[in-house]
Amino acid sequence: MAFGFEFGGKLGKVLLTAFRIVAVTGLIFFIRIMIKKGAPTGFVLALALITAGAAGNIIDSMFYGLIFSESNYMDGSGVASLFPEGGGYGTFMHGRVVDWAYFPIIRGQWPEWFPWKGGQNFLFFRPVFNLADSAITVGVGWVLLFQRKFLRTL
Amino acid sequence: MRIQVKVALLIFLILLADQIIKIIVKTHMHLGGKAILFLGNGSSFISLKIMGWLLALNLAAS
Repeated sequence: MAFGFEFGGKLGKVLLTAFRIVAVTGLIFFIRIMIKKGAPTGFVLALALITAGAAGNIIDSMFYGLIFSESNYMDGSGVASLFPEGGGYGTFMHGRVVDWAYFPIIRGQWPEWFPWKGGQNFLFFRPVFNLADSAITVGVGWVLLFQRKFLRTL
Repeated sequence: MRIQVKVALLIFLILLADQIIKIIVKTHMHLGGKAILFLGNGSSFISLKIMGWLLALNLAAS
């Protein structure tokens, strides 16, 4: 759903997109209720960040298959073109989320004595992500770190 | 500014920035099978800066 994690198959993709749409709709209603209840601004804005992030990835899943041509650096097809003549690489709700940011913070090797992993390469942080993923993460982190007091009152 | 306006503005700005970056990456960047923007070995510093910035933002907002 975020950070490049995927369900398999075409049905999985449609189900994931449908789940995202339901989640965002629910979040919008939840934000409205929270505003009416007089929730702290920080909490409401954190929910808005999560909603924006989820909506950003929904747009990719719904429309990118229709508006972008196939692009793959490895097979030489190069960068994608927007609104290609022959149509996009997929159909409605079968677009792929575009992840572009990769920040490996720590690279190293597990010590030999370490069970199972000993001697293997170690990389933190491996996932490739995008701004929408960041918004979701910051929103969730914001709620967990700074809005715990309000969460307990819910 | 009313809270509803703040929420709408925040969502709109994040969506706009997200889509602009994705379209540029998808149509102009030759960076890998998944259009990866790899910031290389200097990325630790950039990551720390981003994390610090986000922490400051959160502290200011709480």
